[in-house]
Amino acid sequence: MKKIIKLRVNGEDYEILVEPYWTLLKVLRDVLGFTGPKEGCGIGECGACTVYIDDKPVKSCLVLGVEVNGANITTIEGLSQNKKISGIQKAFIDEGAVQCGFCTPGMVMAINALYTNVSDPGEDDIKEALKGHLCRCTGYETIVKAAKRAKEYYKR
Amino acid sequence: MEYKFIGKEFKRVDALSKLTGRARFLADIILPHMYYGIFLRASIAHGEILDIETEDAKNVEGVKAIVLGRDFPHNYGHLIKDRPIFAFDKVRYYGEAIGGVIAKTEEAARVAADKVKVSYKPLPIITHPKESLNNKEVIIREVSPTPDMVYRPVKGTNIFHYDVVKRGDVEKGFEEADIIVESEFNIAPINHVQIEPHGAIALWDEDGSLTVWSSTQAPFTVRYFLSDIFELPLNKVRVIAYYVGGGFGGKSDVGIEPMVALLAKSVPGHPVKVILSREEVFHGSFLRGNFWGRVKTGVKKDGKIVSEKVEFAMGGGGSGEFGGTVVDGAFKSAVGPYEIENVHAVGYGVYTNLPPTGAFRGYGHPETHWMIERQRDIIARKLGIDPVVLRKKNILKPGSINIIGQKIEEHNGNLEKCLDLVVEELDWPNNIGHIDKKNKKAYGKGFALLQKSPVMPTNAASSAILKLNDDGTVNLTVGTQEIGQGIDTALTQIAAEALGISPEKIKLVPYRDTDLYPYEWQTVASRGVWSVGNAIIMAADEVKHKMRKVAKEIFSVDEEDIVVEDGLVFPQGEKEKAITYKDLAIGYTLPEGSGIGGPIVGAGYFIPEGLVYPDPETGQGNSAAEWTFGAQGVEIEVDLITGKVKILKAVTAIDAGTIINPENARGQVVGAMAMALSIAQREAIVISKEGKIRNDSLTDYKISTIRDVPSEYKVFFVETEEETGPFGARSLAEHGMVAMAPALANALYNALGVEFFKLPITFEDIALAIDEKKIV
Ligand code: FES
Ligand code: FES
Repeated sequence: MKKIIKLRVNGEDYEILVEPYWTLLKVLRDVLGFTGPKEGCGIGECGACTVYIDDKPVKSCLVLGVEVNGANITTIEGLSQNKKISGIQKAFIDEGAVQCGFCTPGMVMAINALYTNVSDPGEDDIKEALKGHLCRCTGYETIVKAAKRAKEYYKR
Repeated sequence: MEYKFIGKEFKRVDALSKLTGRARFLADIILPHMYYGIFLRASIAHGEILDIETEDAKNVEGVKAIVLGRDFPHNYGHLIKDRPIFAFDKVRYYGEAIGGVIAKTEEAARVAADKVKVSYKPLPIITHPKESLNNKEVIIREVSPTPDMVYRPVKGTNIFHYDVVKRGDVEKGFEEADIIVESEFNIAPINHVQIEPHGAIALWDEDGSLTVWSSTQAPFTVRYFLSDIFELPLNKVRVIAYYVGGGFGGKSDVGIEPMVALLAKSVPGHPVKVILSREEVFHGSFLRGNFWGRVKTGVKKDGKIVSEKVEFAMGGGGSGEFGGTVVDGAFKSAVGPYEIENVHAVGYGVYTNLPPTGAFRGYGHPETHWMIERQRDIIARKLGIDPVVLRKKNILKPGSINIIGQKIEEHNGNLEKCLDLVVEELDWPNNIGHIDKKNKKAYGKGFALLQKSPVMPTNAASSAILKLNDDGTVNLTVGTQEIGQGIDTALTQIAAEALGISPEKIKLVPYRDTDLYPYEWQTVASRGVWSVGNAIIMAADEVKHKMRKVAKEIFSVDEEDIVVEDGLVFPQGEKEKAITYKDLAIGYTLPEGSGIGGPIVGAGYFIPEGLVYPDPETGQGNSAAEWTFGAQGVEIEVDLITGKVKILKAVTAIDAGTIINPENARGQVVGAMAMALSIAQREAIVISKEGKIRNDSLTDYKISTIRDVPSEYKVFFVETEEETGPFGARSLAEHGMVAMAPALANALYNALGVEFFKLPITFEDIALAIDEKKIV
């Protein structure tokens, strides 16, 4: 039986009809059209689907839509507001940390969240934050560099 | 050569859209009136299909159609025709698709698929290539050679293709040799693990035309196969592709598209979408097949290799169509980048009860180099000479003849320099390995060489179209795919250089569409920059030629006297009169108001000229378009208690000609090194006795995480200009994969004194070896 849920996504309010077994990822992508979060595995193994629920990074394939009724969600589309991209997005460009781009939204969300908690993350904090995120293209080198470089943009 | 935009910093053109979530991938596409499909998959690895019961499934609410292999019993293929769309007579691997269910929702399709009952008559299975090569009882697929068949199956065996190289007389060579070294090698099957799973959407129109949206690396090849299978003219098949979320070869062979197209044929007017689950990517796409090989080498005391015999077999899975060409790739590099007078190499593609083998970054080269570069170190050890010295005595240099009879030219690159750079970075031969008993650690260094040519048909072609806009900006369309390798960025720079305008003024139109974009064979083989780059230069020449033709009227001079340079067009020596591309883009307006010329479009093409098929008996002939050489090395630390290996440093020196974009080129090499080390250290498809893949998830099939990769990467580019390349460039997306595994194993020997002959070399393997040798 479908249920009505309310979600606030990237600052906009939505009221939608969802099946109880739909994941938050499916709701965001297929119902609301936020296709920034990606599905690499659907079972919590790759991190590509990471979004924020009330500012906390969560793998949206592991959460059901009905579970988060009333929640405040941010997706990668919500990180760049008013045409301004966030510090970590800039740093990814600086360091050439994007290749195929499929892991990128998840990586960016995780690192941006790290900076809201730690102002000067070290290599180990970065690796801890990204340990559940797989990238098959980069060997992670440029991603770590970008995570470090983002420091310049976050301290203001 | 000094260039304006080539070799200069220029940020990726696709970075921003990929960073903001705007970039489109196949799974992001939702179309009106779309249905969803789920494939029915075999629950055994080998057996005849006896009966399929679909009544219960049909009754599930929302189900629109069920399509089975037997409804369209057809094997497709270009080289051997041995790939069913859905299995119809028998299944040849666990998870092989035997049909599909279409429903209004994914959920309904899945519920229905579970209700389909299939009965089989099980048959014995074979999964190892060596076993398959020698087996005449269990024949996985019967194919008889036909005159138009490109592959060479051997009747009554599981061999679906083989290649031979013969030079000189190996037996005589062995007699002349001072020592003979023989080794046997194995490699486990692996998966590409692109983070984006494969997917496709197909839609049949009332007029019988077919549109397919796909995650493919090769839209034009998909179009070719669809047109062939469904007997449609090419202009009634349209293939649209978005960014590819990692390909690595695994999305270049045609698998999912005919399946989804066949499903959709039963519901015309409705697009049908299928995205593989991660589990299905493991058993329902393509693998790098398992590999077995044997090498026998005859060497003189001074290290000169006089004779080498190589035999290998690659597991091809249940269909050989897309795997046989991997053997074609491997055999040209059967003895690595060395000049050897007497060579006999035979490579076989054999059927196995595993998912089909397809392209995988490196295309057979990591496999042959695994054997050869291990063998070189073993030989050096037996002779008591430095492996650098041994290699230098035998490597290909300008003037050398390689095993297919080609003479190596200066512009093919400088292998020796690559080797020097790597061993210098490793501080070779100092401290090449030692055991630190006190701290229970061992340290080692190792290196290996590589060569690769683009493995492709002799007529693999590319094209490009440059279109001037009325403000002087340019739109560029090509058929090659952006799969993460950065091709859109590199080609933008090539177009900028060729047109003499800044890359910011050029838009390489993202995504691909076979109806609108010019032809491209495939985005594989590390040939995009080289092949499409050349086509772009030709297109730019046409643009400039058209501008000159108009400008000669404007300035009333001869065409040869018109200079086109840096976005300006002017008569020789009269730069002050210059007009711009903008003035000419859509036709020039003369002072009195009348127009001349017209909208300017330039088209260009490229085909590697002069390539021929190799001689079937000897493998000789000009079948490789160009070569790229390199060297790779590692420094490692081994934990003697756990067997855990830490890569302290990974090094590559590669001569890929002129580097178009240093940052992205480095990204390719580093990414390939990381991938190769992940494969060498931890990746193997685990197969049960019944032939099931036991590790079909990312939890059980582990790829390197951020904690597992090398602490430091070093990349050196040697830039010998390639004569046949655009601005002297060659491509380089695969090469970083080729020699990492043997470099690691060579380092492990230097650390522990243990020879490893199979891949992967897991921490458990190492811990066991440490135990056995009583190192601690
Ligand atoms: S899709 Fe959610 S973790 Fe992979
Ligand atoms: S950039 Fe391709 S998976 Fe990370």
